[in-house]
Amino acid sequence: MPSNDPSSAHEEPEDALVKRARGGDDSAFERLIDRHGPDLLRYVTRLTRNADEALDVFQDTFFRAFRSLATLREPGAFRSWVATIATNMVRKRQNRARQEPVSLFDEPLDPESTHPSTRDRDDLRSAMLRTAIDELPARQRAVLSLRLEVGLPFHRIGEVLGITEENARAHHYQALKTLRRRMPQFAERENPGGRS
Amino acid sequence: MTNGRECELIEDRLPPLLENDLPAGELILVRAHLDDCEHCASAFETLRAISDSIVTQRPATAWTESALARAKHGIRNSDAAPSRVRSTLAVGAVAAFCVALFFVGPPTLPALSALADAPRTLLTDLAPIAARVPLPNLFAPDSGAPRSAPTGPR
Repeated sequence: MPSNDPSSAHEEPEDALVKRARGGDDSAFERLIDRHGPDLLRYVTRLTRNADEALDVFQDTFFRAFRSLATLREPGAFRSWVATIATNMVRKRQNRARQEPVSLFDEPLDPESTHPSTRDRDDLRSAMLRTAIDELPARQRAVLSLRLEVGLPFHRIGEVLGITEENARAHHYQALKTLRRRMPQFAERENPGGRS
Repeated sequence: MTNGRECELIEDRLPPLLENDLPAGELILVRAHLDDCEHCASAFETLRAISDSIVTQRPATAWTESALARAKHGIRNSDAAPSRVRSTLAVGAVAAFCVALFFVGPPTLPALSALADAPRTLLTDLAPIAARVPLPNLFAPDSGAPRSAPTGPR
């Protein structure tokens, strides 16, 4: 289960921050970036599988969100709204790249540019997991990240990706099954007896 | 140890089990199977480890902070959110209109008046032309003569 619940009890409620940001309080919008940015960055990195692309999409996403904050219907649903913007941006880039033989979603992985953030310190097990996730079909990868990294419920994931809640659930379960089959020894290798 | 067919069925239910998404009846059956089947219990532990690893795996803090800083910088350097720009422009436009109303008075719109009079003007202008053109009176009482095509001078 996702543990990254965006609305902790001690933090200012989401809708209050959005309302303040709409009223012109830039610091409120920066709080929203701090709150949702890290998980959204993970999601965008999963989608693009390229650190530079991810940074561009990430920055453009929050800029777009800032400009169109007035159009957000549910102030309490900022997290899924901004994930939708990011998804659409990646799709647009994918469409632009269609003229090339390989689309952005399915381009070959560049090991040097993928997830540079962790490549130096990760152990082999984590690296294998990352590779296995990167090789999942794009939609499964998106659902998996939205569920486990962004922490959205399935009905919100459906809204973000334009699919039904049940479809989102099915993609998530299929992704988990695929990962388990790819790495059947994953749990054992976590033990102290294995590589640390 | 249980048979392979049952394990296949259970395998499909491990991800929903992880998400606490199984109906109560199935939950009891799956739990009972996991208690007996080392293979499926191990598969479930693997699934849980993978899921936990994805949740907890974070990019390097420096990279994330750099991305957040870039996003904030982009917003600080933007003129303003369009919502704010729109409201500012709207207020400005209303204020300018009020000032103009105060100094100039209510606007006269000759062009619009002319436009409204256009159909009447057009009819007046066309009347002499219409008078010169002989139009058949389709509703005149029938004289009894068979209708034929008008014959002009040959």
